[in-house]
Amino acid sequence: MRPIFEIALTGVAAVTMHPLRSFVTVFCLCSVLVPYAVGIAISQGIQWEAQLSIDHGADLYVSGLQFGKQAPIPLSAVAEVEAIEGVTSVVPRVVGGVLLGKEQVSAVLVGLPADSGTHELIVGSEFARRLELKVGAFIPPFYTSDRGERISKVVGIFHADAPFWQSNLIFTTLDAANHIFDQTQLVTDLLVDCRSGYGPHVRERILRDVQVTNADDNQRLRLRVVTREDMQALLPRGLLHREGLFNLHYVLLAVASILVVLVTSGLGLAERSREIGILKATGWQTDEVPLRSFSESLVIALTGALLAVLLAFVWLRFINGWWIAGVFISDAGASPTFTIPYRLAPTPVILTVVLSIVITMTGSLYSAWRAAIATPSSVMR
Amino acid sequence: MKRKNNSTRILLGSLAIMSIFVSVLLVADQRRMQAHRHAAGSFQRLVGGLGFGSATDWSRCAHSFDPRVSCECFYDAGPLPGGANFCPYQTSSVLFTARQASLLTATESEEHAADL
Repeated sequence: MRPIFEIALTGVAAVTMHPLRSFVTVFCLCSVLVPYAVGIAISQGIQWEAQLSIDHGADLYVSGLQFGKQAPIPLSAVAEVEAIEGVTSVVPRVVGGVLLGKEQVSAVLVGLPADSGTHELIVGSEFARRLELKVGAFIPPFYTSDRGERISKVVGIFHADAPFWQSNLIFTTLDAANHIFDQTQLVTDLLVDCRSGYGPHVRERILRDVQVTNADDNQRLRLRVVTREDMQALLPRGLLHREGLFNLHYVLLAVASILVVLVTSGLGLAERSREIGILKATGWQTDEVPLRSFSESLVIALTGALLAVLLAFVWLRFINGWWIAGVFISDAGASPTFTIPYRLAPTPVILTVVLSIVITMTGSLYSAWRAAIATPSSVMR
Repeated sequence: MKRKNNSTRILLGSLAIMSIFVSVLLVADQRRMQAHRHAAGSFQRLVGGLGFGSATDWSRCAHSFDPRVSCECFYDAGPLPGGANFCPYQTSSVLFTARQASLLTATESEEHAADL
């Protein structure tokens, strides 16, 4: 065991014998690994936020369907759904798009039942920044309604650390939302909570028994019910599909970086071959040379991976995923104004270490083995 | 020889220190996530579960914002090969495609048909 350890130590010493070459190799590794770690961490962060959205959301989301498109649903459906066995609560919700300001800044307006007589709004951080809104600010009427227009008051701003979907959100009461959209007795969806295990039964009963008609022409509306399980099923499928695209690009980059490491580590160069030839001429066995090269590569790979994780953390935490966030979150731009979600452990860290080892080993072990099986005289020529 | 041994020790020591530093950093990051879980949970409970995709803006691709509130992507060029992926607001991270979400609708239509 001790001779193996001694040989491995000579590999570590080889890293310090060529400091510039080792530094350039680690630098090349980091330039590949850091964006990869940052990208995967952001992707994992978004997935985590989406998981929280499912966990803390309702069990079922009921909306109308007309010609295959989502349609509003009358408030009268609330009582029908509430009557189904297993339903614990039904909350009507309005979600829609609005445009505000001279620049016609778009926002998502969400209305939920609450006791408030005035038009009080809680707005997203990015939206507030763009319209220079502060708590207590008044917004002049930005809509037309048969029931008249009102001035709205900003009573809160979502914290930038909240999930990034808050950035362009306006949250208000159901009545205010209906007023803004000039609708009465219509909502976009019903949030249904059920007793444990009743989800499939309630879903079936809603689709079969609840009769909903369109307010305009009294035609029957079809219903769309999205369950927590449906959303849960979208997470891994989508992750494989989308994160797979990112990984695919990185596979190509990894192949290129293997060649770069091959050059920068010098293991493919004649100088290193001569070094191996001298080792063999002084009594080293063929299997000892790759072991030495393995330990040298392992030290470089671990140094590169650890540095990459540190730099990725700095990139995510202190410069908020600058530039790369736009690849994963539309509207984030090069410099996001809201907090980018990220999750470094465990998947991104593990992938970074594995990728680092694969790149370094592939770039060095084969050439070391080729030099080791040749005769000393041929490699020292 | 002694100098070489020293530089090897320094290198291995630096590697060990860096490993410890990264471990501490990851533990701290996990704690940050736990704190954030509470804030994110409060937000999601307030709005009834909103946001799922990679868009922050409803106006351009509501489906990429949340497939629960919109089952269609305005940029879905469906009849074209791969047309469902033309929407620039799905970006390259997350988490569903227009086709997958429309499957939900298709399942419901089949159930309606079966009932009828």
